[in-house]
Amino acid sequence: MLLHTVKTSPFQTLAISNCLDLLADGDTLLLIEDAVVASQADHPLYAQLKLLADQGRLMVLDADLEARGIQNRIGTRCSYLDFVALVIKHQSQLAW
Amino acid sequence: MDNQKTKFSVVVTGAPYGSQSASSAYQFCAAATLAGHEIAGVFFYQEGVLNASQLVSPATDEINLPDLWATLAKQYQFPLEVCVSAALRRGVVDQQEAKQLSLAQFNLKSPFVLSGLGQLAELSANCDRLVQF
Repeated sequence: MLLHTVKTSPFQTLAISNCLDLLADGDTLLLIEDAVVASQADHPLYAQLKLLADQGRLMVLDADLEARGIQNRIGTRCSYLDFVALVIKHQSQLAW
Repeated sequence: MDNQKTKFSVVVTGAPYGSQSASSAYQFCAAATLAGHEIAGVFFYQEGVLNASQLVSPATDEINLPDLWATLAKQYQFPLEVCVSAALRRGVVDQQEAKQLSLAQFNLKSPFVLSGLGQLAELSANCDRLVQF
């Protein structure tokens, strides 16, 4: 059970795409930094992320959404304290 | 495990300016300590070594990340380890290395210490969770 953290936007790198390819059942994806735009903008991976969100497996860092002045359309907003709890909940973290 | 104390080790690979990575890592550490968890240590690698320069001098109304790291580490008593080979390449030098390399200055901020990848291995072995930024 992995917590994948992605920090780059899908318009910038293939990190989200590569991460989705390797995401296993029970893994969670946490979008941080520039990657939070993926929870709002239209992009080719949006539908795939929405499926993940519908399963409660997509988290978005609140502070980074606020810093960019955007609202997430999909995923669960979480604080840094939630981020800490997510790391504890999963066996290990994988940074993309 | 949720109500228990968890021991974290954190790896920082981003410079204090130019990427958000170091700032994210700091905020994670601050949240973890606030929640009562323990930081086994923070390892600064690649561009992350620039967090350890005492010459970083932002405007006084801006946050100073090296200062924040030093304060948090002193408050919660955890080591700030800096990869020595990554640091020397980027001009982050402690007193001993400066002497050895005949450099006129050193700029490693206290309480950051120069160490090697072996220390990262140790940090990852001696923690419950390793988090990379």
